[in-house]
Amino acid sequence: MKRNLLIQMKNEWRDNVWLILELAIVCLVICVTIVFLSFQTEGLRSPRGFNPENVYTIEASNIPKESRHFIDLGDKTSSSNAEDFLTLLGRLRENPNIEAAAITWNAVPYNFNYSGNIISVVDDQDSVKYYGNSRWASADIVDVLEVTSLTGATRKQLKEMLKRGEILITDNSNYVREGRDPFALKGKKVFFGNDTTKIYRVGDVVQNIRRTDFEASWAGGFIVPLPEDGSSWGKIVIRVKPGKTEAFINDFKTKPELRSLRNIYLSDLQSLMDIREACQRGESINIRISVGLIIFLLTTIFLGLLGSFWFRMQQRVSEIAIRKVCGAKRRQIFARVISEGMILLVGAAVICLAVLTPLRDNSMISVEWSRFLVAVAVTVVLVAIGIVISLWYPARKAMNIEPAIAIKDE
Amino acid sequence: MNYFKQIYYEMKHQKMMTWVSISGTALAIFLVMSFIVADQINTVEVAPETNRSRILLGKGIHIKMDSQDGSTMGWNSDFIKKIYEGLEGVELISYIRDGNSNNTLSVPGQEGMTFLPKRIDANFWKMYDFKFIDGRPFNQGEVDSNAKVIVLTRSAARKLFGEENVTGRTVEVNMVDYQVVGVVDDVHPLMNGTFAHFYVPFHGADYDRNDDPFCGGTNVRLLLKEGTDIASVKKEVEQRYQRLNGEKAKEGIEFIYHDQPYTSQEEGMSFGSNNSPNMKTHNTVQWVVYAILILLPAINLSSMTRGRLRHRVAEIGVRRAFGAKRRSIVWQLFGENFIITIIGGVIGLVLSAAFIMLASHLFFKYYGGLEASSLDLIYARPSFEMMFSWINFFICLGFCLVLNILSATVPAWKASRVEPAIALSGR
Amino acid sequence: MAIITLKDVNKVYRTKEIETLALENVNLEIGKGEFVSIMGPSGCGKSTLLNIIGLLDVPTSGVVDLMNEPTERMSDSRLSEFRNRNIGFVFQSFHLIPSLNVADNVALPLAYRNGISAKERHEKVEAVLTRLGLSHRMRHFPGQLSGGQCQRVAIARAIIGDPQIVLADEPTGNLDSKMGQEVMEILHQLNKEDGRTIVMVTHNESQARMTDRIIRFFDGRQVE
Repeated sequence: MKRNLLIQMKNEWRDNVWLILELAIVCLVICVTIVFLSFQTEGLRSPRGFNPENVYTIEASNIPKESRHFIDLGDKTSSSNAEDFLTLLGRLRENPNIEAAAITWNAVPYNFNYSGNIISVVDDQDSVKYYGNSRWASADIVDVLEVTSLTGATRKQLKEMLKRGEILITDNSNYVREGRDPFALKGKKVFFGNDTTKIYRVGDVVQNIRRTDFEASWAGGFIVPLPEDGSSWGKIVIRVKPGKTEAFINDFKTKPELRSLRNIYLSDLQSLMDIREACQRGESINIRISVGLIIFLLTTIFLGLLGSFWFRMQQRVSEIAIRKVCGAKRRQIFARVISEGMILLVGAAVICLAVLTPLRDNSMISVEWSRFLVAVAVTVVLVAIGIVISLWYPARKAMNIEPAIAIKDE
Repeated sequence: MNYFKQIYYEMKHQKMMTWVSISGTALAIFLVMSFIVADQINTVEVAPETNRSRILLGKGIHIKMDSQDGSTMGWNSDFIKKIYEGLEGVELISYIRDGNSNNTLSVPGQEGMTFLPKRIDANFWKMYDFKFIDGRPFNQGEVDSNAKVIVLTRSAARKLFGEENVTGRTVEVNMVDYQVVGVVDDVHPLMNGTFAHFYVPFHGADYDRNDDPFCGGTNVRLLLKEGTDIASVKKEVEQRYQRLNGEKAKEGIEFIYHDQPYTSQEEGMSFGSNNSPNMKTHNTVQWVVYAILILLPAINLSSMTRGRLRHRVAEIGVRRAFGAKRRSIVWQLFGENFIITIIGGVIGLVLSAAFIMLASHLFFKYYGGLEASSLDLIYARPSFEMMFSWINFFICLGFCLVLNILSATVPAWKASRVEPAIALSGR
Repeated sequence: MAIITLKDVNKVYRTKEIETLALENVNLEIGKGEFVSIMGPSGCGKSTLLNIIGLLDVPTSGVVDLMNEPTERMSDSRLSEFRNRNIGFVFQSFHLIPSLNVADNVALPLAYRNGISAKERHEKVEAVLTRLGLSHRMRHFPGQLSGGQCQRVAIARAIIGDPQIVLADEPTGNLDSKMGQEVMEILHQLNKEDGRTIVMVTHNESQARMTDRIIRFFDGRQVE
């Protein structure tokens, strides 16, 4: 039976060659797309290091001199500004809808700034340095972003460390690759770059706070404390209590005392989720395009196989009728059509493997065997499902041929 | 007429073939046209950007100092003139700030609202084709004197004042009073040279850095004279870079020319201030995409055509017997196929228009900048006006023809070579 | 005067394994206005002969002259034109184009002829269909007609271009005897009234006997 099938397929070789070619191109592109997708979404599968939900950013600004709202305090203007900023921050914290609020500089994820720096351990000559992205923030950042310790420290403990002026470092795959252990830095005295005038103690190792959900963490990071003493101020980042978003936004809009004090005012309340949407637009689009491409390709083979096999079944009406007369069961007829599609798939998969295997590991890209084989397997399964769906209708048509009518027609 | 009647009949009687062929064609044309239209959005000329093809943008600055790399989105307001002032073939030069973050606008007695500004000089109004609903643009005197004047868009005026004719009224921008001098029609968010909610004078010196003679907050837009070659303008800018680098080499400073100033197409591509736009790769990728989108459906359509013709071998034999030449058989089959392709093409075109207007923001990144500070930009979709162009019809027709040539030529040619005696014998 | 002349015509079909001699040394002259029937068992080469006369097939060797014109040097395009002007075909299985209506099927040969206006074409179609008693069926499709009606449409198509020669390959083979009789009457009418030369392949001895001459074939050879 199977041999006959092959012989029959040989008779339609021209059509089959085209179908195999088409399937092979489709398999190829799908396979490459899946590999691409698996790289793209790698970040999504590893911990983000923070929780963006219910987080909002607020801009703090000075009222400029030319404004009629400006209150001239003479020499005291700048000191009062610092004071007022802290008062406003305090008022935010007192708001019942807010869980935590922190001052930050480059600490909020979903922005592409990379303030790279290295740390060196005091009195240590190791040439391999820990490199990472610096994020400055006051202690409450731990609660706002839900920073997680990798050594089991509680958030309260992490906050204490920052308040004491200690820095937090993150895990660091590059550093590990160089054979060093970031955890060994815990408790060490370190300095940034060449600046030996400022010595910090490493308080703890926390989960890397990545820049986006997609970007894999390739180096480490630091949380450097910003003291809340009026010496530094910038963006405020807050965590709103779950379910209290609307209440808080309403408060912020309707209570002027929450927004401004003398020459300081807060504005531009933005949800971190919105910022994420904007920041990850490129990646989201890439993923949507990839998935769209796969759907397009599957649709293409659906149409191609459906059409070709429809014609085939029309041509084989009498043959199928004779098979039925000779005792073939409906199920067998159906299975025969589907196996024809599967044989085409085997041909396509072989071509696909033959083309892709040499490309797997080249100067531009290196794909691990495991990833490659999984991608091939997923491709084959996807295309096989596509084939079964495409052949369903023609196969049913073949199955339902009435031998008596079909043979009389001839 | 018989011709169309027969095609209609064939389509009706080979429903599966018709369905598969038309949907295959529609799918291919839908996707290709969506890509093409989306790509055009960066160059399409719609008011106020009716001179887009003649306007270039001097964007960021990339400096290497003692092998240390630094790049930023803007220039020092005086230094930028060294590069861009007095170029050959430039009609108008406008100093602006290209990237802006949101500002809070408020009117007395109301809470503030967030709007996106554009900081511009007076030439900007001449360079673009804004439609003033009320009032006037601000002039260079006002720009130079850093006057607190503002031009609102129609929708910003409506949100703030509840009406559009608000010239002479006062609005606070980040707590400072500004006087409304004019109101313009809204600008589509995808017109990234002009889009904003309000326009205020740009005072470049305010953005200069005290300790940095090169970097700042100034960008420039150049309107070229009609017929000026863009490449020659770029060449001249490049020469100025080279001259500058010659002068600064002693100080260990190098300015890196990144193919600036940019065309609207280059501007629309996503890249940072220390990368060059890569049109070549962009175009290659584009063509590979088109090729896949056209080739695969073409294989399908070709097998459809072959299948269809297999059922019509006898007909071809009869036609040949009664005097049809091979050529006329080829033309007939080709034409029949073309009509099916055109039907699919029209469906595809309509689908792509609907897709572009409804959902394209999910699949295309129109806004070239790295960050889009306004959600208006993120969710912006092209308007009908922006994608409707007769050229697109011809491009679509062209792709249909390509699809047709790919899918019908060989089967039609083969069918015409069939020996009539064999065709009629039914073997 | 001979309108169809075949001299030493041989036709060999070659495949990889076997060589089949379909026609062997056929010499034939058919005069203008003659009604000739060709008889013989299945596979004896009758249809091949008809195809060669109809310029649908070329002999392996030998000469075919139609209307005193040698045909072996004609290009494909010239052959098409020649068929269009001078030869009408009638087939056993009618070979009507299912996707065209009766009028369009009949008009087919005119579609491949230059300088015929739509009006002229319409008039001709109407005239020939009226003659064959089918004018009321003009807008019907072949699928809606009986076998006899189909064959009459096919005959209308064969003669609309006013060819001198009509070739009929078992024209009644797919019809019952009453319908077959009708078709034979029409063919005789075409022969007598219009003076067309008719060459008909048939299995039907009685039909053959009513024609001017019977040519018998056996195994590719003319036996009579």
